[in-house]
Amino acid sequence: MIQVKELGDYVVASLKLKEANLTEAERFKKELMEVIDQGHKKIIVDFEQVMYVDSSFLGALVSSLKYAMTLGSDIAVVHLNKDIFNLFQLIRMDKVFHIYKTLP
Amino acid sequence: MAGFKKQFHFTETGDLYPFMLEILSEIEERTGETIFNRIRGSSRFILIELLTNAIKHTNGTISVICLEIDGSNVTISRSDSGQRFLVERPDHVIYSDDMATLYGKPLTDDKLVFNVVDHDLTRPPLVEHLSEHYGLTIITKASDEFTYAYDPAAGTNTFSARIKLG
Repeated sequence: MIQVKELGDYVVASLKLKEANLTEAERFKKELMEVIDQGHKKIIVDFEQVMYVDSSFLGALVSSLKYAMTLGSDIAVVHLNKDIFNLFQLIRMDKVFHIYKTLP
Repeated sequence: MAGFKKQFHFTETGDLYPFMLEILSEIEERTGETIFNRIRGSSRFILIELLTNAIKHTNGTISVICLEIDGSNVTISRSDSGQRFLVERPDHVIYSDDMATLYGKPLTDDKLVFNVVDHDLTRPPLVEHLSEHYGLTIITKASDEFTYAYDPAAGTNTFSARIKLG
């Protein structure tokens, strides 16, 4: 589900799915936690291929961020489509995650 | 705009995305392009979360999605015969964290209205305190009114989100 590549100081975790929903949330969390466990400090989750995100997937993202912060890591997001960006704003996730328009 | 009402049936094994698009298409057809463009995002968020909630909580029973459109509102409701939704805390709080509190305030013994109060953020929210449950909050914020009603005679739950067209 996640394809990982290093980009300077960052690790980009690209989501290889179109529907980021309840069905995928647990697996996403597990794979992202494996990336965190590898000791990466700056992780960017790339939503370029994602059409929509549901609350379960957002919960998994927040849960992963909590885990990352206990290990001194941070998670940002990139390439949110307009609907997903609006959803982040609606529930104020833009106050929690740094949102990149493009990869730094 | 003449009143319009249509029911759709959704099971937890159903494919959420095309089901949502089918209902969005119906809304677009009935409201017209200009209004639809204004309410498309809200309708989409509401549908995704009502359907996700159905998958989570109805234990395989069929959910009925009811779409009602008149000159003033689009109302999207989901009914099922799963477990009754209860707000246990006396202060009616369902979830609360640094960013917001979600309330379910009783209107009658069998009906409540959801309400979200955003908190002032004078500092970044404490991530370790954040809720991981956003479904009801999303629907509440995306709609002009979001209610839950329980029919004790029929044993059915109905979540209903209304979007004003004006």
